Amino acid sequence: MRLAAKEGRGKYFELKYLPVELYAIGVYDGHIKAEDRKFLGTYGLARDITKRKRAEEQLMNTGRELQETRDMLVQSEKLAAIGRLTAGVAHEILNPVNIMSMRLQLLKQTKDLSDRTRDVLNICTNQLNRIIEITKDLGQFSGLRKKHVAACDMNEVVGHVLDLCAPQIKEEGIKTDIQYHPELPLIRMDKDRIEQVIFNIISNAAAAMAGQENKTLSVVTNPATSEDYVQVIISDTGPGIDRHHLNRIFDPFFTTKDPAQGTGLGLFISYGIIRDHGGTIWAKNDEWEGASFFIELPVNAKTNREHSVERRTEQ
Amino acid sequence: MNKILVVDDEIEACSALKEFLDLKGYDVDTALDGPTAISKIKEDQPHIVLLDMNMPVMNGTEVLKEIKKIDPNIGVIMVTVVTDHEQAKETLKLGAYDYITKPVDLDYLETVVMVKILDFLS
Repeated sequence: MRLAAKEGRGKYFELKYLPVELYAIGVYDGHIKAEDRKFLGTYGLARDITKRKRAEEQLMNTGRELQETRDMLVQSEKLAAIGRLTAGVAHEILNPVNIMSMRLQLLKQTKDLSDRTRDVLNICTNQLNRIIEITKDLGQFSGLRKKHVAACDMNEVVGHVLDLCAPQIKEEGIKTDIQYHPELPLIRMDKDRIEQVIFNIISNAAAAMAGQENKTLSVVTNPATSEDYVQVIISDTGPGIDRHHLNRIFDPFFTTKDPAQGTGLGLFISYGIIRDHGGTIWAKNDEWEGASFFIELPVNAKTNREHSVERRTEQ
Repeated sequence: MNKILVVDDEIEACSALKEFLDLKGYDVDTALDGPTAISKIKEDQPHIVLLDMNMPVMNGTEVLKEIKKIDPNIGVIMVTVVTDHEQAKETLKLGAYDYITKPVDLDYLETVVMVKILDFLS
């Protein structure tokens, strides 16, 4: 500062701990110079730059947010592109699968097949069916299916899925505890897809509780803490989710079930559907027993990919 | 009442369908694309056409429209991929009699064909 002052150049200095800057200039006039022109000191102008600092910080934050949003958009675009690619591949795979399936059916109609041959043919047919299930699931991402977006009551949506699951729930001896919030805002959604998600989670819950004595499925709907969202919480009394798996459950093909029992794409697809609606889905283990899945959907769904979504899993 | 034309750009799919329907006593011909299918329809006048939805050059919907112009009474059964339900339903509006999804359940296909033939006869 002294140097700058001496050189007669004004310089701005920002103090570290105060939002203040000093403009220091040297003065070579009689006011603060001694008779022998000995340099006595400098005076400067202190200016409160709090507002400027705040504006700069906000600008940086906005810049950061824009960057994050852009990154998420790029990620979304990538995922969408991957989705279209997998749907295209699935489509292509179905042709050779179709041919093999028909040939197997024809073979099975041959007379005088040995038992062993028949068994092998059945094994092949079953494996082909697995491929078919996977391609059906992957085909979900094709975007060829039109979205039918309308304002819906989440309680009705949940109710409808529970009706569909009622026979299974009854058969497996699952107790239900359903709490519908009386004042839910309507949500713009693709009803079929959201029902698919809820159905998937309830199916998983039922499977998780298999073989247990106490089976309780609870579903709660409520307006979430921030105003324009509706939350659905689906909980089971199963063994909970292995904490090493918690952050992988939404990955494609991740499953803890027997391969014959599913493709491991259910939660991956569900995640995609919720994300398409600009919502959030996550899971956590409950304090006493079982796991809960949380779905939050915004009242005004952006069913294109502009909305950012976090995937949260709490340990 | 038993002439069937199978149209699919996959030769092996045509072959398997022909073999099955031959076994069941039908008189089966095949075509690998739209233009060939249309010329065969004009010449042979099949009662039923099994038509693949996704073909290059002319896709199933276009062929369907042409067939209906030639003879609106031909029973056209669309063969579509399992995820394209919406598209398949559209073809019903265009005059397709029914649609079946790939992979084809041959027994079910036989039922659909039989029902259409009965329909013709009544």
